[in-house]
Amino acid sequence: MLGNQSFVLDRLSTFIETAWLDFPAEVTKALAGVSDDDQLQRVGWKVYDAWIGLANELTNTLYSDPLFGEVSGRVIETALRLRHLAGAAAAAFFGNFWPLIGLPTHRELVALRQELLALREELRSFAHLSDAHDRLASDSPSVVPLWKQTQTGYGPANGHPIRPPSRQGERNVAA
Amino acid sequence: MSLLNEIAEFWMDGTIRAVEAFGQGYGSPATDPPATTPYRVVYESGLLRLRHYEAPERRFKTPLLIVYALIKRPFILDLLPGKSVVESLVQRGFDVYLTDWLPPAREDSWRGFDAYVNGDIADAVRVLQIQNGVERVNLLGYCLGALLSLIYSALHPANVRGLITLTVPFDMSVRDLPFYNLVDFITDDVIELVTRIYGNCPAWMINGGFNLMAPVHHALDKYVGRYRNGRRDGYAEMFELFERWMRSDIPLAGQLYREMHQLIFRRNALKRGELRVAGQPVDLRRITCPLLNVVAEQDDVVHPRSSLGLLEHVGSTDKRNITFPTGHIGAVVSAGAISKLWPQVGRWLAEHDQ
Repeated sequence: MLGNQSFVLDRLSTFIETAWLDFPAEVTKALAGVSDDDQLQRVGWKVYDAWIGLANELTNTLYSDPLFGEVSGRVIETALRLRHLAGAAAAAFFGNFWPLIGLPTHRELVALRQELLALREELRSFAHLSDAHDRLASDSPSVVPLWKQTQTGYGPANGHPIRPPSRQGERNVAA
Repeated sequence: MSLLNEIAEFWMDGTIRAVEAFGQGYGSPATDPPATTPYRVVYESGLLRLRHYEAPERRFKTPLLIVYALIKRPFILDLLPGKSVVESLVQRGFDVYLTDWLPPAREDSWRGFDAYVNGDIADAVRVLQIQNGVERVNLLGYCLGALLSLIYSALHPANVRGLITLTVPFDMSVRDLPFYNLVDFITDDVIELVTRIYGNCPAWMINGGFNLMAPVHHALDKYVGRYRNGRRDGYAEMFELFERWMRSDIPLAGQLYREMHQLIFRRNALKRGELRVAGQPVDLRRITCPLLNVVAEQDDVVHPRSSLGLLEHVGSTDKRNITFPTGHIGAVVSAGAISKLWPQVGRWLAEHDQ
């Protein structure tokens, strides 16, 4: 601890020397026209570096202080305990009370969302399939999808009428 | 006025990016910049993706496995042309493999030393053995990766031809870095709470820890440095990449976090010979292969004294320390390290190839 204090004193004296002696002297010289801006800038950075050195040393002294360590440790532990408690309380509230008043739980919402995503995916694959059929029909006119064949008067092969696929349900899903 | 405006602009940019990184959960393979040295993924399992950087002109028989630290993305080892450890080694004729650790999810919180050392690293070594038709491989570990390499070498000495430890956190009783004093006040209860709440040690906590190691630098001084060095060739690009890496933290698996804190940091179990992995004692005297211990003299993450004592504890006869005047990260990115330190490492590897 004594070592740290002596480092801080060293840094402090450097800072005082540069900020309160060198810098004002350089400003005076610049005003009197006997020094240039570059020199003034150099001394300005020296002051900054001395200040950073002092700030770093003060941080180190703080970290080395057992009281600071003790307080930091306690603060972190308390914050984590509160966070844990809040998590447990939220889980109890949303897991038990929430469904009791008829509202969906997080898990149910997630399941619903996943179901919706799966339905969208299904819809997308249907749309791709339908597009592929259309492309195939336009590329080679001799190949006509079965459901179009019934519309154009061709009879179904198995003797049952074939209807074009309904898109009604898909629209509902998308909605 | 321009000075203050520019610094304020850099500071604002940095703050916005820090907030964005927090929102996105920090690092993931998707946030990596493009690789400098071409590679292909040769194996993937568990939380390991093994990259292979093939030497254009391979000159050495023994392949090198670089075990990267688990807490940030590995692109710092292959940052830019001319500033890449991987590139430097590959150009010297070494076939290099690199562990790209994937971020653990909550269900991976059970993973500790056993899963990483006896699972992933052992698998990676097996891949090298099969692909190269060799019995033993060279290992190079960086920071936490060096600790894992050390444990692997002690548990599986027959598979290791040569071991390089770079800035290894070995003797954790050293308290020369003031930040480490705080570790003593983080109780086992705190660690248990973190793992109970989050499963793993979250990336934001790791990032916060790094920032707290040098708060004045991260809050202000680095932006002032960006202004002061703005006209230096390549500085701006390097600064951006480096900042990106600083925000690339990935969570640390819960069990490993527990073991690191309780066994390595608080009890110094590895140095004291008390560490056991999967019930097996980690006896460093079983390491008899040549060992090169690289220490960064100005390391402000792992104090040099934490690494220097390693040699006394291993069984190797061919062992040496290299101390280099650089910092923890400077050891893999600084121009001095790339031009002086890594050629030295390359020579050591070449000498021990056969």
